[in-house]
Amino acid sequence: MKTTALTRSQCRADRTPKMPTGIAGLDEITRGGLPRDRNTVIVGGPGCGKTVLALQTLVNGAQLHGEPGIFVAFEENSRHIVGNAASFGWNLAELERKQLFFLDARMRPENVTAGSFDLVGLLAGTLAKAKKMHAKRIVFDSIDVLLSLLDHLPQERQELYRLSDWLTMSGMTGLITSKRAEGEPQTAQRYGFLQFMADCVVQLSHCTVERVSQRELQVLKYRGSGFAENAAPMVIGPAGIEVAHIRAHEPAFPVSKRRVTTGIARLDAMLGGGYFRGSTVLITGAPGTAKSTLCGTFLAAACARGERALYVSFDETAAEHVRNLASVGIDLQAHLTSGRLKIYAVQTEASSMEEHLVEIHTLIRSHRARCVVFDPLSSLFRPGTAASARKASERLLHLAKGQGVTTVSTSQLASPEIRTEGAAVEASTIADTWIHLSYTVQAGERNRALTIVKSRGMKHSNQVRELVLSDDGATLTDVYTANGEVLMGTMRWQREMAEKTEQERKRLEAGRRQQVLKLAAAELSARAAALDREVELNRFEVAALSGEETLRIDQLGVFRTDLRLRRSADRKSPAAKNEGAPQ
Amino acid sequence: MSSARPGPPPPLAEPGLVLRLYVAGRLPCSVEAEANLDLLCAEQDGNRPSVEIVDVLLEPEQALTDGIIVTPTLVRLAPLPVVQILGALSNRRLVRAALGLVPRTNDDAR
Repeated sequence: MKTTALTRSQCRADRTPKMPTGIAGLDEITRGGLPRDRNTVIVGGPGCGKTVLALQTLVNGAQLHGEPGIFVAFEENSRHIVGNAASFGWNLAELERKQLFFLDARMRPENVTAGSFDLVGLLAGTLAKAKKMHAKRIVFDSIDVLLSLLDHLPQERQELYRLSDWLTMSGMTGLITSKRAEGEPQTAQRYGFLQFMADCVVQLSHCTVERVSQRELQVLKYRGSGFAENAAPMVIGPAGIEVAHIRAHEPAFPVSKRRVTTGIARLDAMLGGGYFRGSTVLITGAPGTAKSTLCGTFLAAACARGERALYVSFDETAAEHVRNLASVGIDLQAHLTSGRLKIYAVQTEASSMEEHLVEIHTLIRSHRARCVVFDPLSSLFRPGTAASARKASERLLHLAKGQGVTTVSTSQLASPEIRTEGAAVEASTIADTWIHLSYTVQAGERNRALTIVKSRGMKHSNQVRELVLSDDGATLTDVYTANGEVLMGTMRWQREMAEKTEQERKRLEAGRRQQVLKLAAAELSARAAALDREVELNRFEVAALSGEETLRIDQLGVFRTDLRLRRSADRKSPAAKNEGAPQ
Repeated sequence: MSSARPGPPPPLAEPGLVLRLYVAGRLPCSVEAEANLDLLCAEQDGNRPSVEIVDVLLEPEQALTDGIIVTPTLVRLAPLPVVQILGALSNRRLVRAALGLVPRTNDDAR
């Protein structure tokens, strides 16, 4: 017999041998499976999935663990059961040849009951068959049909005891299904006794909330083992039953410091590099604030990097998204064609939240998506379903996070004010990064403003930016504040233009002044050169004048001496002698 | 009563009543059913039905093949259609009606 490593370790911890059902979630709730070689009672109203649960356990036993099984059908034609199972993709025809045996144990309507009876006929025949095929699992579906024929409570109990003893003796693990109709004292008593007798009781329920069906599974009792006591949401999906189980202690999420681009360079810059890989991003905003566009840029960037991405669209078709995003220059069609991108359009009203959840989860796994968008996640929040929707959306995001998938979810706000929307605020507690988009109405126009409300673990800008959509995609621009008002749109444009003109004017003015100063400087230097020349001229003149003067004085001296000599008024002085010697 | 050997009952010259009773050893219901069937057969003085008894504890595979769910089960194999009567046959009036037997006048109340 094969068991998974997980199961084996859990069995040891509980000291109760377990039989894995192979049903996602149920084995976790029961910490490894149903009690082996004992009996488990599955109770629930009609259409709750008792038969599917029992049959799936049998099929999984045969397929995954090589344990042959017997299905005793008291209520339905066993051929019909085999036929119905085909819709879950279980190939019973193949299994029936060796590992599964279906016993049609329906009472014929023309049968007459005259006195009390027991189940020994069935048990004896089944045991012979079980020994022959080495059956390990057996299903009795559904026992209440048979018990109601007895119409005698003490006898019912006796036969149930007989069945229980027989199971213990046969070495098979028994699954006994039983209908539980509300308000019937007979069934209530039978149910009470079944619950007492059984080693494990699994209750299935089915209710309708806001016209949407919701299924639940709850383990009520498990002798010798612990189990998760809360009711867990259950889905009968395309591959059978899946049970959603949230562990009390979530496994540690893979935490990454790596960034993924938002698809908008300036938004990356505002976040200090982009979203964290594997984080949960929430984008809130009123209708038309370009939430989907931010989703589109994120996905297009992911696909362009070569990653696989999934676009889960609530209440809008894939074609609409492709067209709408193409109008702002985001080409999803190319990525759809390449197969990297998958768009999954969900009609929220079509099925229950749990079904959506399971389908989406399966899709994330099968598509191996690394980036996922839920747009708008708030579609899950319909009036009256807020609590379950919150749970479902939280689980959805947790599931994605657990697989290291980066998710961007949008939430539509009826009111532009963040705080008034309860749902978004509640969803925001799971979000690592919360971006809020809003409109500002100014001068007769609406413009989109982007704010980062929070972003765990990263520095982020506190600035409001204007989100501008164009044919080339989305960009963020700075906003202007003037007189305490934030300017956007054409007012920003006007302001930009005015500022541009002003700049140009200033530039020209500066140029002109520079030119003037240059000219002035040139003029001054020219004047300086002229003055220099004048100074030089003066100096020459001074020099010339002083030369002339010396000459004149000398000449004057000679003249006087000469004159005196000529007048013979004086004796010839040595100097005069010398001078006058040649004469 | 014939032996517990399974198989089709021997063909009769005239269309008589062919019955098979599946029992589970000596369990109370089965014992009671055998006794009740004896009484019913004794009533049919001139035309006693052919009765075969099968013990499912001894012949479990036959019980499975024949689709026997509860014990005791009385099966009218002939005349057709096949009729199944479940239980200890304690309500003999019902059994007579189901098998198409003539009731004994002074036993009507039982």
